[in-house]
Amino acid sequence: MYENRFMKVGPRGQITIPINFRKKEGIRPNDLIRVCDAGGYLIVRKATTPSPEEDFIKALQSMGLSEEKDWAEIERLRDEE
Amino acid sequence: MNLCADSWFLIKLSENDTTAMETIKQVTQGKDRLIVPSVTLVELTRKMIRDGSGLENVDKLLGSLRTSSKITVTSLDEELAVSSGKISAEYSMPSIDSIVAATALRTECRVLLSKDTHFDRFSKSTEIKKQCW
Repeated sequence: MYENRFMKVGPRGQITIPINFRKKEGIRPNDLIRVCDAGGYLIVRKATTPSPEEDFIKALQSMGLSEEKDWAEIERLRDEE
Repeated sequence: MNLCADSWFLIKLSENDTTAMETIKQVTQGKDRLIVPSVTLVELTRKMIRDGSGLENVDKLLGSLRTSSKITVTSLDEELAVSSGKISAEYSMPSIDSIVAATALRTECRVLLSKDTHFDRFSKSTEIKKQCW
C-alpha cells in the first residue's frame, strides 16, 4: 500500500516533499528531481537515479530467469491449453 | 517503430543476452517503443511466486513501467479480449499467445519478439515480423 500525503500548492506551483519521503529517497536541498506525468499521476524521482528503462532491465535481471528452464515451462503451459 | 515483447524476450533480457540488450538499447536511445502485453506479467508473476522469490522484483518492474515513456504495458480490455478471441480461433492459437498477437496488432508493432512457434502463421499473414535468435 502506498503512503499518501496531502500538500498545499504554493502560488508558483511549489510543493514541499514531506520529510519522511525525502529521507527515504535520499533527496537533499539543491538536488535535481525528475517529475513525470504518468497519466493522472505525477511521479517525482531523484534525477540521479537510473532511468526507468535501466530499472526495468535491472528488475528483470534480478529475477534470474533462463530461456532453458523458464521459457520451456511457459511454452509447455501455453501448449497445455 | 513499435516492438512487442513476449515473455521470451523479457527472459532474454533477464539473461543479459547480447542481442536482447542491443534491442532494448535501440528502444532507449532511439525512437522505437517497446510494448509489453499485460499477459506477460501474469507469466512472470506466476514464475516468481512458484520459485518463492517474492514479488519485490515484480513491484520494481511495475514501478519502472509506470514512469517509462519508452516501454508501455498494454492492458487487456474488452476490445482487445474480443480481438484475441478472433485471432485464437483463426490461427488455433492458445489464449495467452492470442492476447500477445492482438496487442501487437493494436499497437501497430512491426516486430514481435518471441520464439513461440504459435505465432508463425500469424506472422506470415500480417505485417508483424516474428523475431528471435
